[in-house]
Formats: sequence, C-alpha cells, structure tokens
Amino acid sequence: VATTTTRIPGYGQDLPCEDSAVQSLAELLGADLAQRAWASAAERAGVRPPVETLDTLGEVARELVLSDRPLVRVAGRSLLVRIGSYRALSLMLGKTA
Amino acid sequence: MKLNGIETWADPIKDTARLSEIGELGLTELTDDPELQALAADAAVAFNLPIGVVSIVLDESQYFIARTGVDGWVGGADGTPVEWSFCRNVVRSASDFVVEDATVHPVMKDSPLVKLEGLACYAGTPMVSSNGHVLGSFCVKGKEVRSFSEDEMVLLREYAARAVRLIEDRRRQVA
Repeated sequence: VATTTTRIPGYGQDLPCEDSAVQSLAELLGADLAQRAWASAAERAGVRPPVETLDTLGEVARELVLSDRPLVRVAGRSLLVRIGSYRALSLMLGKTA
Repeated sequence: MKLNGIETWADPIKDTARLSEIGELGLTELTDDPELQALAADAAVAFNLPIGVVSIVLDESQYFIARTGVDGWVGGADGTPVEWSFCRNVVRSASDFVVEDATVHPVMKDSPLVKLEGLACYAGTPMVSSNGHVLGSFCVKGKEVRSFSEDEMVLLREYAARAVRLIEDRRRQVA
C-alpha cells in the first residue's frame, strides 16, 4: 500500500512515517537508543530501511510491540493505533491510504 | 519542572515513568480480556449509554484494551490518536473529565470523534495504579447530550478501581 497522502483533510493527522516514528521513540528513549531499537525491529521484521509504506511501517511497529523494553512496546502500540486510525479514516473519507 | 530556572509544564501524557509502568503491566498487548470486557459492558448498561471503554493513554495514542459499543474506524484501529481523545484530558488533569455536549465543548468540538462519530456526552475517570500513575481513563460515552450526577461519578470511579485491580492482579499472576 503506497503512502501517497500526507494528511487527513480537516483532522490534522499526519501520515505516519519512519521519521515521525523514530522521533517519537527518541522522545521516550533518547536518539541513540531510538535508532538502535528501530533498526533492530526493522531487521526482525525483515524490512530494509527506508520504510516507505504503511504496511511495512506496521510490520516494524508490531516488532516494537514485542520488544523486551516497556517504553519500546508503548511506542510500538502507539504507532500501530495511529497507522490503523489513519488507514481506516482515510478509507472512510474516500482517500487512498 | 524547572528548566534554566524557569518553571515549565511537563505533559503527564509523555511522563516516561507512567509510560514504563503501562509497558510493564502488559497494557500494550492486552486486548479482549473477558473480565475487563465485562466491566466495560456493565458500565455502559449501568449508565444507559452505548459505549463503555477501558482506555490506556499512551504517548501518542489511546488504546482500547476493553470496550463495548465501539465500532467503525475507531473500533478497527483499537483506539485513536491521542490528540483526538477525550481520555487525554483525564490523564493530563488526573481527575474526572465530563462533557455534556461535545459539539459546543471548546476542547473537544473539532475532534473526529465528535464530528464524524457523533459523540456528544462523555464521562471519564482516572485509572490510577498502585504506584500512583494514571494509566488511562475508564469512561462511558454516548451520542445524546447528557449530564452526569455525582452519584454516577462515584459509580464510575468504582468501575475504574475495579479495572485497575483486574489489570494489576493479572500482571501478578503472569509474573
């Protein structure tokens, strides 16, 4: 599924992407740990960065949820909800997500 | 919190100690727990409202670990971005948050939960862990304008306390 839209009109949710996901992780873990956690999750998911689709972003997020670090699990679940919400709302509003 | 001698406000939603406890309690994986499900459903019936939710407020999303009456795009996503949620206000204030008519509420009127889902009334109360962290909100909501009595808020707080007991008991059993 290509990430062709960047924002749900009128509702202000940006398209979830790798940069924003790593930034969110960094707010919880610090930049270095966040980069490592993201790279590790991407590797376990079999995804080679850059992560460019919602599907692959979701695969990495699911690996984050399986992490042994509580804060990484939180960030992963947060990301999964945002991906699901963006996708469902975009579809409901008749856009491609 | 002070930064360079200036008092600043730290957003409780981003509090890493709170978020760590959420992760440690397994609240990032727990879905469709039957006892929590029953609690959410029971609360909706008790308040004569269509929706009851045990909502865990994460750093950027709210995650519904138990719910009744939540369908459509919200149900499919298991939650919403935190900026759209009623429940974030419960965590930020660590107190009850009540909305009688969301369509005119200054904070909530533009949320897609109001504009698209048609939510009108909301009552949520903090779910506070034994460590003192607000994990999220136990809440009921509906699509009609409605007020909530003090007796009803007492009942809602009892539901929230029961939800926390279930969450913590379950974690103790797993550990």
